[in-house]
Amino acid sequence: MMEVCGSSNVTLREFGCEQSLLSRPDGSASFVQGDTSVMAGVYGPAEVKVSKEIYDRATLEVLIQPKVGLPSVRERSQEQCVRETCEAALQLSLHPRSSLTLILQLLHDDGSLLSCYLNAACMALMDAGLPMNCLFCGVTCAINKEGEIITDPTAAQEKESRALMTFAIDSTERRVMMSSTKGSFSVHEMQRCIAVSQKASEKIFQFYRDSVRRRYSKTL
Amino acid sequence: MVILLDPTAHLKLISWRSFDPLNERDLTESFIRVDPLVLRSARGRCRFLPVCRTYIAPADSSSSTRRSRCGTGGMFSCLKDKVGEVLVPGDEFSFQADDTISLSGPAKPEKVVCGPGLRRSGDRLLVSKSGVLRHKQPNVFWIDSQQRRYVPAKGETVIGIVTAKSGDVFKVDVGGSEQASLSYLAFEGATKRNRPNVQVGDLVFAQFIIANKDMEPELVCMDSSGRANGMGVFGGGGLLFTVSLGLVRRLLSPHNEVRADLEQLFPCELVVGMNGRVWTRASTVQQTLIIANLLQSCDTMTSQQRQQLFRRVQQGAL
Repeated sequence: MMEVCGSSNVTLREFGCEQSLLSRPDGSASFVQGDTSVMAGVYGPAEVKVSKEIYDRATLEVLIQPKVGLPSVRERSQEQCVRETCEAALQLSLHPRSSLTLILQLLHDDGSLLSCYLNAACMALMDAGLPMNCLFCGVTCAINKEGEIITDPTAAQEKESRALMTFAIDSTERRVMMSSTKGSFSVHEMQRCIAVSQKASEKIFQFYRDSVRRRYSKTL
Repeated sequence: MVILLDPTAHLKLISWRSFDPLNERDLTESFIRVDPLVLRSARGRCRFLPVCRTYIAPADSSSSTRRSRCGTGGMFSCLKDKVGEVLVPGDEFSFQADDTISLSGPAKPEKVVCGPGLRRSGDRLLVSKSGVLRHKQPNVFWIDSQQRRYVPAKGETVIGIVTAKSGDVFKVDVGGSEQASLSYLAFEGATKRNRPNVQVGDLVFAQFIIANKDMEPELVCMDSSGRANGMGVFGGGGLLFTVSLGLVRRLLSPHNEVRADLEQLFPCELVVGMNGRVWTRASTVQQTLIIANLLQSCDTMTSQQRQQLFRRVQQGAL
């Protein structure tokens, strides 16, 4: 089993979310972590191109739009991370031969971008009412020169860090669904980061629940 | 890593697509058809038998003495406690049989009918959509969620737009992932000679007779006795607009407040399709637009705000 990290309270920057704020997509959400801000829109289940049709499940497409210019290699790799996480969480076999499109628009980048993409994606998928096995959230951990773990780092903290890791955690068993790492670190450090992320994920899932409750408060 | 359960395995057992809270007879039939395992549990167990893992049945002698029953107590109370609460995907209910011995003879197997948003996996019940848990007597549970995209379901009536005529079928856009087909013979009084007058671009109010994830959905414009029963091509005038599926369900539910408030305003025709499309026609264009705007804003208002707004409209503020 993982050891629980020494410092008992995990600090995350302030985060906020708004659901169904766009009128055209079937589900939309914006997610803010500190100064990092992302907007997500989901379209689907919709008609699919014959070339992309999969006979037993829905085709999920994730598009990441940077603030300026065209998506580059960095965006492509982030797209893949988000897509594979969403594919594991969604019950795609319930909508065969249809397409789901998730569009993530970067509004401002101040560190922990991939985790913010993941959180926005989860809120938007939930808003669209797509069948899911579980929720997921993203947590970014940075290890600085002194070997301390910083959760949800800013861009400046990311730059100074020795290693940077992002984990997607599922809501039912708090397991790691996806990991993306950069820099050098030991196995022990990685395990500590996972433990810290699992702890931080509880806060985020509680926030998810509260914001969904707020959304449905008018129809209760 | 997440272990993906095989969703097809339990879909065969619980058909939540053919769920219709207004028609209980259909529900029981579909339940009996799709869920033989629960009915077969002669040992008086009311828990859902797991289908994914191997289930080792207790020997006969032990089963006769230890008849476990989680009946009305465990299963219902645990779901009923949560009725009216907001649930998110990943929440689960587990129905572990408790070890109480029933003295009142063989217990009847209890059944829970799961509607949209609830899914059985082994002896657990998983929530797969976010929304409010609703309950209908005696044993129907479902998740009431606000979503915009329509997924066709058998028996539901929808407003479609005819997009193409090809041979003997019309293609109809209902807002789902695939266009539905509508045979030209599926109208009241239609024969091979007497074709219905349907043009591309017309609106039709029709009912699904085939709607499942693996097949092209099919619509008809008549009921089982061959009568139109309100379905068919729309006349001229009127306005079509879209609202969320949650509001449509609220509008169609019996004794609905929104509808009652709307009746107070002025006479109008209102056609509500389960796919989120609403068509309305009042005596003047202005009144038609007022109704459309009111309904579209109903989604984001509390009941007090709505009543206030309707009162202002009634007093002639708009």
